[in-house]
Amino acid sequence: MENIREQNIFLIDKKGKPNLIGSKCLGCDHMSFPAKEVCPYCMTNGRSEEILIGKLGIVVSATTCHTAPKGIQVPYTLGTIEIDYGVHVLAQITGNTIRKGDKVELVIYSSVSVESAEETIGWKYQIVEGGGQ
Amino acid sequence: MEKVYVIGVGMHPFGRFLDKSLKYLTRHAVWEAIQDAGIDPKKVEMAYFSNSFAGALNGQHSVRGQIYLRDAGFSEIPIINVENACASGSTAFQHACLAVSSGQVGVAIAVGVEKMFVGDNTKTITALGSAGDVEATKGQGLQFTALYALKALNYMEEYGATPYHFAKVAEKNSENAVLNPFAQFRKKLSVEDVLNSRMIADPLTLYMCSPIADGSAAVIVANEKVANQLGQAQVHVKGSILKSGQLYDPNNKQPSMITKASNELFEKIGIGHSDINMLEVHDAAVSVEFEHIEDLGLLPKGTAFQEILEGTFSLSGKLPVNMSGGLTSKGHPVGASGVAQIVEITKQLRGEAKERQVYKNGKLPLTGLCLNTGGRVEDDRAAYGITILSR
Repeated sequence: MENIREQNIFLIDKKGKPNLIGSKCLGCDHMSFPAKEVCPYCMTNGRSEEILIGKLGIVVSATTCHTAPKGIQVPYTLGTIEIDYGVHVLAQITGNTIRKGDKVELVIYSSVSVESAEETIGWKYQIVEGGGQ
Repeated sequence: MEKVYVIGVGMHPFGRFLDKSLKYLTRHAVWEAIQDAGIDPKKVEMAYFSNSFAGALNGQHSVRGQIYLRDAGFSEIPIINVENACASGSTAFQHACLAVSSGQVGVAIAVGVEKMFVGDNTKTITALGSAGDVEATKGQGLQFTALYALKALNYMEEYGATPYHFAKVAEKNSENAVLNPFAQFRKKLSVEDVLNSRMIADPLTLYMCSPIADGSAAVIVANEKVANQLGQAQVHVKGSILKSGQLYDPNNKQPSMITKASNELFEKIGIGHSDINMLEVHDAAVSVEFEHIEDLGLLPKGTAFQEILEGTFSLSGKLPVNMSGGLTSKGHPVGASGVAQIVEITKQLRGEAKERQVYKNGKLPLTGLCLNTGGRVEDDRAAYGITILSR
């Protein structure tokens, strides 16, 4: 199975596992997400390597939202997740109870717009079973 | 460098005006500012037009300022379209000031206009969510209320604040807005009203969040010569600063961008924190008032939520904040908000704020500060604008 890549944001690897696509600067070692050719910490250009990150993470903070942009069902939870190398990402989180410190895993989902019938492939985090506190 | 003065201000009330077009809103604020300045409009040499969502919501792209300002009578002069999310207004104002201070022009205008009621609030919420990295947040349901909720939760956890303290801010801002004829909501809210309103993003309830709004504001700035000729040299632009979001620090040791930017500005213009008599800050949700006051260095970290209980930030308090009612009660028509902050401080400095006029030891205030923020990039806001005005 080939890697499936979406907008340089996430990738499903050959084992079928989802990953976020980050980058590491070979000049100063800083990690970036989304991945960047130019490191914004030291402004070294063209010396970065792509690193797959974010398979697992920890909930740093989370809020339940009762209004939503188009295409999102309420209520839903939006939060900050800490992933590899201390990188913070903002993401939707699913699970029965979601608390700070919970373990989460990256999942890929597909949704089809009722209005346009367009399919969106997206990513979010899901509470790891038994990973809550 | 030329000294820069605010010589005229104008506004259309903020609110829900389904029958009023962007052209109407623009013309109204611009001509109120022209009349306020008592200036021949042909003397305005440059215009900065602040708007963030007329593309997404009203279908007008690319040349918004030229279209809307033509309806207000302007042609030929350079018109620069400014888009910096919720900080568009302070960005436009700063650049109008730069055009004057550099000597390029004698008079410039900053205009902020937004029309967010388009018959479909989901469309508006979706448009607002696009003020972030749409590639990185696609499908996540990014909305700014949620980002403010996450910040509020952090503040509560770190310092022991509760939703009650946030509700006190909403109560204070609603009291101020009752006295402001330009405000969207002119009804006094009690703490109970605020806490019992429906949950938007935990812990923020409806009345803790700024509303969708239509509205406009305009400010004319001029050099000392023109300001003196018009008898309008009361309100001096001491300084302004514009910054973008900073990089995420995994060790969380760096000061916030508000702290960095305000320290740089205070040092540059040579005034101290104690010189600030009043503030208009960017309360897109009431919970950030504490963060803003503290990060500006006006109170120690983690103390503002206790000061709200003492009335410190009320009109008659030691440090009045959001005399206009703030974004939560005055309304938040995105592109207009930063310009409207300048309008409020100008009126306060001139002593024209009527029932909501602030006094310092029985006298009119001398100096006020505006903090306007906007958008999101990675782990920080995208844009910050801070302006200090003095008499």
